[in-house]
Amino acid sequence: MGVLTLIQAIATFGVPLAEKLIPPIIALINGAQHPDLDKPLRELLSDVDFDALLAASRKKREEEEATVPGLSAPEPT
Amino acid sequence: MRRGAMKRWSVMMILLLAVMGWQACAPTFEGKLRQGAEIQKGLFDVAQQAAIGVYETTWQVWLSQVKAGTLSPADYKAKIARMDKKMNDLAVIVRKGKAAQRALLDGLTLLEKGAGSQANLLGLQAEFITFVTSVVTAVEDIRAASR
Repeated sequence: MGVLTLIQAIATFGVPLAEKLIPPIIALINGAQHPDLDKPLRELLSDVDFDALLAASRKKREEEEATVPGLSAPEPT
Repeated sequence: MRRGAMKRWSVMMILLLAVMGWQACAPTFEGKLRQGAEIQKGLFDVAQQAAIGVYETTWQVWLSQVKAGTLSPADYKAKIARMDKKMNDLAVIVRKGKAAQRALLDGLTLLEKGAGSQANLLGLQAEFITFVTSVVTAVEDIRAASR
């Protein structure tokens, strides 16, 4: 009974445990890093400058408005 | 004796399960968060660019309508003022979103160095997702206003 339970336990837990533990241990010994952790985190920061793009679009709009009769005159204050 | 053996066996099994759980979850948790952060960055960037694209296309269409005489300059100015207000509101959301993204990546950096908590990271990620969703919603709102 005890031997059977031990064999069952090894079959159930031992093999998956070895599969999970051995590769990272070997990788750690070799000084490797987890593949997902290679990319620097700063690369994940948004690189779209929304304010600059909006300002550029507004400037372009104002320049085009200046050429249109009825829009070129300054707004009454 | 038999009872003691069972206890030791149970403790060993619990320890084995804990190690397996740690091994299965811990190294990939950061990886999963990174993947999530990459996807959210893509969506965040695309949404910002889409908002600018919609804005520019919209004022160009309205301006051509003014030139063609189908839209009065007064109506044009009123429409532009409303659109500008929406874009200013969106700019605020984008700035907050970038701050949330920075907080998430700082948290992830700490976690990868062995500090910080997974629960805190999930909270930061949820906050960033909220802002990304807000930007996408705002783009839809701007698109609807352009019609």
